[in-house]
Amino acid sequence: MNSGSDNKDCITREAFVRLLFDKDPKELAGLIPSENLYYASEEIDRRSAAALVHIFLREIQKEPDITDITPASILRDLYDCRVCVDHIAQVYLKGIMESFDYKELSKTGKAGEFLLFDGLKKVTSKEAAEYRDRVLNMAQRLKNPTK
Amino acid sequence: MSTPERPAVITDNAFRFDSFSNGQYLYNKKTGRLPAMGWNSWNAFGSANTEELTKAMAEKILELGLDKLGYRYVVLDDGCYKPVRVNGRLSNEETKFPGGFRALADYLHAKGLKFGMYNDIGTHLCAGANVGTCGFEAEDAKSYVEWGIDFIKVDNCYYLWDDATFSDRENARYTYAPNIKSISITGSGHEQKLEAAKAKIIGNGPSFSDDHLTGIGTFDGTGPDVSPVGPLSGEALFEVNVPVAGEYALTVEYSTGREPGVGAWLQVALGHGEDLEFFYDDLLPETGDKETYAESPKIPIRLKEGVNTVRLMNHRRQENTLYSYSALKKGFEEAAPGNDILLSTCEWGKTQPHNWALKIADSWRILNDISFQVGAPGNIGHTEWESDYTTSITSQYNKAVIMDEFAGLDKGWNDPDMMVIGMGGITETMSKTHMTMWCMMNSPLMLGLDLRRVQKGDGLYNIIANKDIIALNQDPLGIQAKRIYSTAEEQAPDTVYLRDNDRVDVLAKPLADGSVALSFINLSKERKGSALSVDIPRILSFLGGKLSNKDALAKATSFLVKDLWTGAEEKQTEGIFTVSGLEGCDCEVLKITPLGD
Repeated sequence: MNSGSDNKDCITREAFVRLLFDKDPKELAGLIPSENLYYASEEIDRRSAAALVHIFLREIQKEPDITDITPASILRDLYDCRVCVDHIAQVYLKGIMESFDYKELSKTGKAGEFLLFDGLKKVTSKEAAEYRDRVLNMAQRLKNPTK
Repeated sequence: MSTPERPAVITDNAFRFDSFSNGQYLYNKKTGRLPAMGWNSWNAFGSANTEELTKAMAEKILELGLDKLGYRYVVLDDGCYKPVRVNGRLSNEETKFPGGFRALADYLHAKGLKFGMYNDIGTHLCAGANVGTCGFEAEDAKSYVEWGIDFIKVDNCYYLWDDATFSDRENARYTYAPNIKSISITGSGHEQKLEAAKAKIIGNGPSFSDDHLTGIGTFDGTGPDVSPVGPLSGEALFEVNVPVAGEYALTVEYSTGREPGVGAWLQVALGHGEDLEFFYDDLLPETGDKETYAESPKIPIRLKEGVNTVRLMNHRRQENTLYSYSALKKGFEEAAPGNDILLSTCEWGKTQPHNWALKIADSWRILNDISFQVGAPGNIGHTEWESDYTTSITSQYNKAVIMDEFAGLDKGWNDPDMMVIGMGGITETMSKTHMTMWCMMNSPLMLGLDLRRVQKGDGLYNIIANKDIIALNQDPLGIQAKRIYSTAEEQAPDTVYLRDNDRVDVLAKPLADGSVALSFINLSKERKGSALSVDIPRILSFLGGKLSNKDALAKATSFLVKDLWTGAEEKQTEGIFTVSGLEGCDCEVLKITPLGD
């Protein structure tokens, strides 16, 4: 829904990787998707961020995946990104990355009926810091991850 | 090489909808090949596959003797390329595949195995690498031939001419015709206007709404909602009566959109098959929105004296996709004439590939993925027995099981995705039934687990290495099983699309040695305690001419019945084959061999 940069404080792939992994992307070759090395200076979008967050949770933090991701189907765009369905589902259901409520698009106009992950939306530095904090500190994870 | 800016101008009717079922194939597509068997990296390791892991899988295939059972193709799925081309060419991701693809192919070939790879007809691969074959088909085919591949799976993300995954949603302008209010014919002193209500709608999809025709296109088959049986596209036919043969002008009163049901691409044609002649096959100028109508530019059309049936349609969803996959097939044929490379199309059933993929491919995916929770090193991934979407064993089975008439040695095979045996979320019983289903349905058998978890004689091994069950899939007669009975459908169990899993199905598969394999499958998670029987007359009525020796079966007075999971055998004379109840998600598979009359 909102693929462009709506905030000039968007964070690059490289900066996001450094923030999360505390390493240069080149040191993580083979672990993280290689687009983060080759397009390091590009602004990162939410679906790419979701992939990195999930990889960190699983491979670095050794946090088990949620096996039943069907509650994430509430996100209408969950299956738009076939290779990142699981990444998005995990970070959403664990309360790390939020969804967006486009209630104006629902038939009734009510809140909670038209939720999107909005995978192409760019990530701001502030949001990146919030995601990192929620990854590391479970008490900060969102109980209701919808904006 | 460059990315095209519009769909190809198709001048050869071999790529047209009318030619899909003419039995003619393109670019040396070979027939007579049984479903491929092997291992694919995606369900096992996702994008985290490496050269080291691939070699480890190859070693396990040999250690377990799986190669001798037929599992020979070792396929690298997404995640193996550099995300950008190097001097315009595909290149290996050097951390994960340091030796390169040629070396890996040589390694596998030296072990008697075959090497498969992956790409995409769009601009990018699904995982995002900017190395899709679109615009690079000839060059990429050369690379693959140089590397020595034997198999390629080709995905559909970022495809330019449809609203595929990551593609522009507004690509519906290519895959649907505009809404049509009327057509007019002028010329030779003649004028005729026909309102939309005068059109005859054929096929499925188009409808007359208020004062216009809409929905002229092809159904999207990616999700589980649409049955694959029956017409999946439609046309609007206008009967135009002119006094003399000659050149006329056709104008169309239309409105455009960029959404499913209303697009901007119109095809105007006369005739069928070899007489097919196109007079328009392009975008019309967009009208701004679907409520705003305009008159089209004059379309020259040559009419015969009397009644002419003008076809207004849009089959480009299927035709464009066939054309794009064909470009790669053509590249292979030019780079290596007569090559044996298997082509596995993976556009998720979006464009109803069972109609057209037989012209170039060896198998075609029929639905979206069986799991989106694929594994990684140390993580077995997750799947389901059933789901509301495509992400389950039964979702895939429910569609594939009624697609038997689209498959065969002379065509190719329906592909309900790679197997999920070994993934989390399913029991050993479910895995056994999954193996039965895929073997009976002549699906490609692509293992998708970390084979280092398997030892000879353990539960997983006993499922994937059952010779008798594999033999069904690899039977030389090459006929996909037919559903001849279901507790949920009395009249037409072979063609009705059933999605409620509270039922038991019976499949029958004719075999080359004159036998028939029967599979009793409980799709429910609950035990079904009632006895269920099928008899010879039912088998004959459904399989009929497909049997290799119908008379032998019909006249037999005794039968050898072998349970292909337990190995138990018995002789019987009744010709009625019964299972006395099935546990949830379980199956019984009986091979029935007639013993003489």
